Amino acid sequence: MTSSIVFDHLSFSYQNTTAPALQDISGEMSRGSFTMVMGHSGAGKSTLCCAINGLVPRFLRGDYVGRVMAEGMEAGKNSVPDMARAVGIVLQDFEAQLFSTNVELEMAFGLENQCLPKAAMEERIHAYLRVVGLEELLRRDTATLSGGQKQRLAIGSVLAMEPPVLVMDEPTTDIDPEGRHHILSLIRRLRTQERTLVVTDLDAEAAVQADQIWLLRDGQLLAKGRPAEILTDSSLIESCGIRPLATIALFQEMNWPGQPLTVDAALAEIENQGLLRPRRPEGRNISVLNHGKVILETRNLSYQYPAGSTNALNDIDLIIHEGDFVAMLGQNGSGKTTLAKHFNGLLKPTTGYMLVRGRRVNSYRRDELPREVGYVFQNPDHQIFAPTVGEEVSFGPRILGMDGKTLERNIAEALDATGLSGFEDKNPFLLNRGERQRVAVASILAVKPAVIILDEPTTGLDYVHQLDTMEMLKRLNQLGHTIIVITHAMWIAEAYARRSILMKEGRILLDGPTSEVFSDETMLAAASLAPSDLIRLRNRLGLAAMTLNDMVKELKSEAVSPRSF
Amino acid sequence: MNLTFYNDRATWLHRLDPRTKIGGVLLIFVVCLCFNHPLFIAGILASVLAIFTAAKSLKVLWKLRFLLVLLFVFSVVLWPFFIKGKTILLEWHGLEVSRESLLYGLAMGLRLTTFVSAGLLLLATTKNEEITNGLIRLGIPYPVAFALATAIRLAPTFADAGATIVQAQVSRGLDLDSKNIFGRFKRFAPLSIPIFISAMRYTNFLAMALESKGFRPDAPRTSYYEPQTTGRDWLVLGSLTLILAACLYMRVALHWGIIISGRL
Amino acid sequence: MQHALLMWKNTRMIVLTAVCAAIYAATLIAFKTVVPIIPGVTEVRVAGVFPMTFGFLFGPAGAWGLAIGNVIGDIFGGTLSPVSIAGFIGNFLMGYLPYALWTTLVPVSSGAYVWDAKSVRNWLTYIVIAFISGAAAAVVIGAFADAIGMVPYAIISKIITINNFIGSLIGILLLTAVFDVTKNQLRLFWPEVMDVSAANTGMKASFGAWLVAAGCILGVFGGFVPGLSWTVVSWLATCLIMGGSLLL
Repeated sequence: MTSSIVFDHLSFSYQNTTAPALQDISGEMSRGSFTMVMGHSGAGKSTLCCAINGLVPRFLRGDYVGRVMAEGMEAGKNSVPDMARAVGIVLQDFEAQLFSTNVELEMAFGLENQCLPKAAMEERIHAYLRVVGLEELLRRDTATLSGGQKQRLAIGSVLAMEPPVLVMDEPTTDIDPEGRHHILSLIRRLRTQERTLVVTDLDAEAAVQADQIWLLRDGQLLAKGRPAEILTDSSLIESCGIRPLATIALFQEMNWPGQPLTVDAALAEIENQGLLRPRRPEGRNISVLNHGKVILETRNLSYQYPAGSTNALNDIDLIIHEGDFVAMLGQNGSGKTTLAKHFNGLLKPTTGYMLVRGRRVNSYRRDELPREVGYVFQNPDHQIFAPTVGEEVSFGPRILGMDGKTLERNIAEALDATGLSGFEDKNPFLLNRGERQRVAVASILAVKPAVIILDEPTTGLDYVHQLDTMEMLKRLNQLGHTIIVITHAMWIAEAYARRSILMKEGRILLDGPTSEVFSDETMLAAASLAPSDLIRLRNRLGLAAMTLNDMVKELKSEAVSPRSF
Repeated sequence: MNLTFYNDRATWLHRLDPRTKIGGVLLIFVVCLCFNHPLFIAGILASVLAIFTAAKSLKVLWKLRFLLVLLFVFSVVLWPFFIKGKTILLEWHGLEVSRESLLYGLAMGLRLTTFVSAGLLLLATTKNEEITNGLIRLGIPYPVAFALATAIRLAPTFADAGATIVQAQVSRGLDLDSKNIFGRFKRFAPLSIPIFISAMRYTNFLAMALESKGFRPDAPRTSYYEPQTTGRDWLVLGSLTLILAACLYMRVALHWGIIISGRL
Repeated sequence: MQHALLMWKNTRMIVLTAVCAAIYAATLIAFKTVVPIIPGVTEVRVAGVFPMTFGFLFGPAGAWGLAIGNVIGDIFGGTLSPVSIAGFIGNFLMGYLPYALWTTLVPVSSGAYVWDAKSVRNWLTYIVIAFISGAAAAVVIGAFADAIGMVPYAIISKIITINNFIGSLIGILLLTAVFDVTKNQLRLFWPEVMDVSAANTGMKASFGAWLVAAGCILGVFGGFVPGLSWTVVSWLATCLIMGGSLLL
């Protein structure tokens, strides 16, 4: 096999920074191979991607030592547009990679730069739109596409240029589960003899299909090898900020022999080796839902957007109790965010009622409702505007008329709860994404609302930061706040929410204790969702526990000893 | 958010080369400037409306009826106070209104309505990408046209982000309804900063993606859209030029259609 | 003026132009219907907080961005008309003058191209330039709108000047908030993006700067001088502003 990409002692640090982004990276990727690059946020994944087509150091400047060859071209010596013949790259933010006002022109853009004649362009556009499954949308305005479609268009427009190397930096970030499924299956289809694939992702489950995994930590290439070599070392990948494979983790905890990478392999292993006595799924201990005071209630609520032709929400009847921890699940467009925006009065029902503590939202004064229900928007950059963290966090309480000691105490507590004590005088714009997310939470928290709604609080965060955020929410819940999380990350709902609400096409499909909702895989599939590997394993094994530790306890209490070999 | 006046119909106007339509609208603009007598301009407006009917796009005009009425009324009310005529109808503390200035105001109201209608005619029958393409073929350098097209593509995205930002600040208790101008501006500050920052975080990605797709500002490139100029295009441009020539002749040689001389 | 042409060879500047245009257009459209002061010509432009910041931070990209953004605002607002051409030039000046005058309008400007919210000198420069650039746009747009019979110059020039000026004053908050992150984290401060080392100073440029300033004062107040008609004033002022701008 010939090598397609070669890293030769590559080190790089960005201008005006001290810590190197990459340190002495050496390695080869052979032609036609699929390499998954993994690591925590800030480990150097994106820098590595950009080094392949010369964006590092030609566009993102800094100290550059060593060299990178891609298809015989040296990345540092050729201009980025020249490298485009060898390397196609799909960057992290799909929204920022589309330039044209319709799908067809977007596909043509790179080809026009290559000076292809019209007939050849037409042929390629049709061929590659088929590959990414967007052939029906030829004339659509790019702004009207869904996130998943935009990402596939971004990939398609790069593919159309037919580069021998295709690099994709976190292609599934910020995309709903159905869109993610499309993109992962697209990546599977893109594997051919001629095309070298380099993909970064945070999710170990997506890495199983790769030929090779490169593991980065703090700019260093910690390990590289086949998935079976890398993913089986749970402590290694966890130290790189990646959530370990559930199957491997369970087998390790149980001291079972074998290292299955998938649920099916794990089940086969368990059966073949007789690790568990065949067991019938039994009546699970039904977890009791919280029955505190009613805080949010919708009655027969329907909503239609002013420009819409169909209802975004249909006849929603829902009661949420004080102190609960609720996850709202569903694809984009299923109505979760629309419903949540009714909870704090941002949207007014077209028909039906929205009650907060038994009172219609309309009857609240403008400054009353934010004290009951706080809403943290998905993108922290959509709300941060103050020059310091302290001012940002105090904006809400001040505008609602708090001052003096109360204000000071609230701010201190909010900063403390979000782990931001000592950040008061920092410029929020200069913090990283995880910290900005916490600033957004703190600024809502400072008002002390009874209910806190969070829209996708873990988007763009790596596993470690996701854990931090969720542990923080758990603490807030224990302090008495009602928490409502809108999320695409199934493991977050599974591990933290007591109650899950499954939505589809503006209706509630299923609503109940999380452990029950996630047992019903048929219903989840109807909403195009699937539980995480851990919970799929749990369901197959007929267990009640929802976390790895509890599952291990539950299994050990059954005292099944493996057969001797 | 979907912002477009494009009305997808299959009429001969829709099929015209975008260059013809851009040129044609400019010619109509100039024709409007030939006269300042309301009757003459009313005639031009009627012709523009007739073309709208041919383009099956009257509903686009209907969408903007309030704006059009406002434009008209505003002009009719304002101009009479700033133009001096011979036949004084009303005099009050140095302000005077004459028959000529009233007619001039009426003419300007009609002209403004015609301008906007002609502009809408272009927008209703031409897609954004066709306008950009037409501009490139009319000689605008590609990087400029690219910036225009990309801005058109991004504007709805940023408008959506703006709407979210408004909601985010309102849900923190910000009261956006303010009566006076200064207050309105001041309340916009907590909105403009997140709008600016969240958009600017795009910029480097956009530039990187652009170069990665082989874009060079000054390199030659081919174009996917190649609108065809047909006999119909020449016919349209030819007749509009003839009309303009005729109008210029009427104004300059025959002194027709003038209420206030010395003004366009 | 040379940077305004050279920038079209720089990918990052081209993208900045598009992004500025999109922000400006999106804001114009979102607030267009709220309060039209003079329908079709101007409205309470909350988007007016952007021009000084765009012009100062992004230089020529800000200028072109405002010009293009204003056209897009007209396109999507449905008010495409001959005034859009004057709007293009006027809005270009609103982004062009902030960076072009910052170093050349001696003795008001200090000659250094930085923004420091703690410096009184910087505030003074900002306020003077905010007035000049707002008035310059108002004069050029007003002269044109009057000539083709859209709105009388005497009214429109003052409304646009005041509107732009108030917007720019509030814009100080924006510039102060974003200067550091734009320059040091996003690395989008235009002299660094374009590798411009020396600030534009010198006699010719200063002469141009004062020509523009004189044009603006004449354009806004000249009509009050007995015997001077607003029409003459508007065209004389426009010539001064355009001529001065070309010298910068």
